[in-house]
Amino acid sequence: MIEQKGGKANELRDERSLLIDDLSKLVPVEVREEDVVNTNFPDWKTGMTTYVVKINGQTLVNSYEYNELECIPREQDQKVNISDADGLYDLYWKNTSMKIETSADTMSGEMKALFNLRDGNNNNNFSGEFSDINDYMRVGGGISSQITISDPSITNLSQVTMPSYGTITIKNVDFKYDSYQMIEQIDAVGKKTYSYQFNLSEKMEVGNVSRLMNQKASVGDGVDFMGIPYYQTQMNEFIRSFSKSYNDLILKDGVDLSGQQTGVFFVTDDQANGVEYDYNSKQYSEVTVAGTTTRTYKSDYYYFHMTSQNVSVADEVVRDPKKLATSTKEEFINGVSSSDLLNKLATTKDKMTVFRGGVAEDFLQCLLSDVAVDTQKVGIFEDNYKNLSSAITNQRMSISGVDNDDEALMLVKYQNAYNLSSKLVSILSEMYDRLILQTGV
Amino acid sequence: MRVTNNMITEHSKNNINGTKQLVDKYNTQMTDQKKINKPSDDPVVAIRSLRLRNTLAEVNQYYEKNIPDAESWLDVTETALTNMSKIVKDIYTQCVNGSNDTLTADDRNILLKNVTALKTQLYAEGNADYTGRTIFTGFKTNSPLTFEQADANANYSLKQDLDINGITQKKYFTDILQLPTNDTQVKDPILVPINEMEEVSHDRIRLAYEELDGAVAPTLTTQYQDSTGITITTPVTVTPKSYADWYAAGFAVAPDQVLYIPETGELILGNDVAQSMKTDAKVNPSWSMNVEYNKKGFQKGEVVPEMYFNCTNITDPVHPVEFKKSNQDIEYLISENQTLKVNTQASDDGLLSTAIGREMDEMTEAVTAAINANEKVDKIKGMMLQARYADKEFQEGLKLWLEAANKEKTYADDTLQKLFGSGQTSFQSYQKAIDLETTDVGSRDNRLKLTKTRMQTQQSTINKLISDNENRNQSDILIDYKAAYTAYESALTAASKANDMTLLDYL
Repeated sequence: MIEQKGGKANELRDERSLLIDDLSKLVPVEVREEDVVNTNFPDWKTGMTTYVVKINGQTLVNSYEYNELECIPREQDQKVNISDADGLYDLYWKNTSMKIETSADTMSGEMKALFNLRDGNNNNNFSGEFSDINDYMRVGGGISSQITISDPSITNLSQVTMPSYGTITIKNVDFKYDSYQMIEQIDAVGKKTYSYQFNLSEKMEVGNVSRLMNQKASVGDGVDFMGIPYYQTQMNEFIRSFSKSYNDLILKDGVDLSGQQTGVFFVTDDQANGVEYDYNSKQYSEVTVAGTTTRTYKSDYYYFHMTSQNVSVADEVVRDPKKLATSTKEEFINGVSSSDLLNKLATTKDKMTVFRGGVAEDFLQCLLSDVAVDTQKVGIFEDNYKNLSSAITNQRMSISGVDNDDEALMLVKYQNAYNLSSKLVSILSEMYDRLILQTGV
Repeated sequence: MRVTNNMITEHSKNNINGTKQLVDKYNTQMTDQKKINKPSDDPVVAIRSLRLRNTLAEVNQYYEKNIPDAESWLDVTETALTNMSKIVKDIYTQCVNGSNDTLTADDRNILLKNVTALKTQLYAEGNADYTGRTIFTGFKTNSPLTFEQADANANYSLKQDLDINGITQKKYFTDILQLPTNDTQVKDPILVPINEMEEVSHDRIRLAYEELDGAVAPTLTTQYQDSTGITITTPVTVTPKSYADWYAAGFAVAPDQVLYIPETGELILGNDVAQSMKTDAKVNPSWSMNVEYNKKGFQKGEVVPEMYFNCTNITDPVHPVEFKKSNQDIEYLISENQTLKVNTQASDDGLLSTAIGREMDEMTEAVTAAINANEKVDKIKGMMLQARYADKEFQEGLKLWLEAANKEKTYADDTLQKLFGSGQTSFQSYQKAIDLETTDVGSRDNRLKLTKTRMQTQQSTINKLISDNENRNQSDILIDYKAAYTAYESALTAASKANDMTLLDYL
């Protein structure tokens, strides 16, 4: 508007550019400024312009209008990983309530980096194909849908990351689920196939069923970066397989100092109720029909709940070390120093494969190498980009910067000009003086 | 390119910061003398360091904990074995003394005391412990080898395996002389009457304990493999009989009978039975027999059955506990994949066998019998000198008494002498068993020492590797630090000069 008079609003333009500059560090920014033309006389410039700012392809500011963004914390049933903290924030457009896909490939900038750090799971999230749907009686009453996801990405019990209730997304449509189960089928030749069933909270609409059938379903997004969830999952995987192999050994026939069968050693704390989860009621069920064994692991399966956060040593053992299993039932009769179980337990350290095809003592090495190599890689990238950015800044400064000598030279130049002009005036004055006053007529 | 003032400022800032980072890095290095500060500085060094530390922790466990522990355990065992060997040697000396035929009354008393004391001592050594864990009891390190208090309620059913050497011969003496109690008996011994002491010899099986449970008949089974490899098992009928009854019956055994005498813990074999067993054993080298019997109530010092035999503790009949005698080796891990057996187990056919105790009991019995018989002779001789027995009829009666007493004395002395004589051989073999174990312990100790040396070298090698891997030489760091600091200083100097002068200064 100011420029309609024909001038240039330099100061304001600079300030605007600086803001866009800052914004472009956070998110990819696209800016377009166009002349406003009189539709009747397209060649006649009005002097006004429109200014559009888009972030990640969507309009943030359009001349006098703007769209707001807001941060909304996740609800309990929107958790993506079992170890996620409560109330993680997601970014939404306020007007359309659309989520901003911060981890999308088109995204870049500091914000993506921060979100990747928080959500990066190295693409290890749960995904599969929506292949079947059945009616299902809800525990609380009412009929809802049970959907089957085949060809799942997670087939290892210890790697299951999704929370026991939450949200599953099929082709960008979110569905709440109450519980799920993992189904492992072992046929006569020992080949294993896996599938999952999710018990949705509501019945799926018929339109959705036909539209979404055979589409990709997932819990959470696959983020191709080793962020916090990745390391949490790794730790969970280790703690689950290690605890399982240890517990299985002592549960088989371990007895304590008084010859009594002991319970599990590594337990899962139910932090909401301050007690330990009951081991025996949270096991899988097994059915064998015509040579095919089907194992069903419900979402309350003991080791699905175990995370590196809530694992601990059984309270009973902590209070009374005599309850520690050191011997097997058959050997216990031989006396307190019989140590066959201890020898077996010692193999969990360096003989039994528990983690990523390695033994337990390699766990730390695995994680350390992950984190060390990754950090080093990131460090090198940072150095590279810093160099690039400083070269560009340099170029910019070379053009936009102010130089004392330049300015001083200008001063000299203008002073000279001024001096010369003054001299001219003085000469002219002398000339007139001579001509008018001294040329006596 | 056009160079502006803020470009120079920016560059100076970058340069100062760059050199400052180096100063910081070498400063940290100078403090901790490590090559890296966090794993990402050099992942290879970090992971190698982790591995080496892991190995070092293991070597330390072997070298600083397991090996010294095993060493002390072996030391304690060796001391106990040396003591045992000394005691058995003492007993052997007593045997030599006892087999001497000129023993005075004092000699016999001393012999009795010594034998009793040595037996207690020997089994006390069996209870030796290392930091509260008994060392001769296999995995049962929380219970001693022998009963530390008499336990009248303890009730066991045990199964003892024996070979043909378990059958030995023993002499039994009927009609032990009872001294006259009144003058009529003195005068006329024929009326009492004095039954002449007779010597009866039987084949018998000496069980591990005496004072057994007479209410439960034991089972005796013999077995051997015939030429076709089939195991032939034959049960033998056993008749329980109390010692008093048997004594009254003049120690008679029918040729086809096997008597079970619970008080002495013996099975007496009739002639025919013994003969057929010996023949079988001669034909079949695999011949063996086993006896199952019950014992209720244990004396202080008696060995605990589960340390020696397959047995069942039936003290609580509702919850019987079954024990199986097995090789219970306590193994210490003394280096990677190398274990060492540290314990030595007492067993019936090796160290501290129950036969030693039983044999010493028999010696005690023989000495006591000899002392009693000698006392009787002395008493009668004394009576003969008394004035009130000076009459001829008393003297004649006493002469008959003396004759009987002398006969008993001769038997008793002879038994004593022979028993102690044969004791020399058997205690030599017991000594051999102990020496064998001592040698075994010694060789294990040697093996341990070799491993210890190896572990020591390994420990220092790993320490050196760790140091090579992650530490930096102080002088290297100092030089680097000095260089970095000089660079930093010149950067500062340069920065202070930058933008110092402009054209303005010349105007």
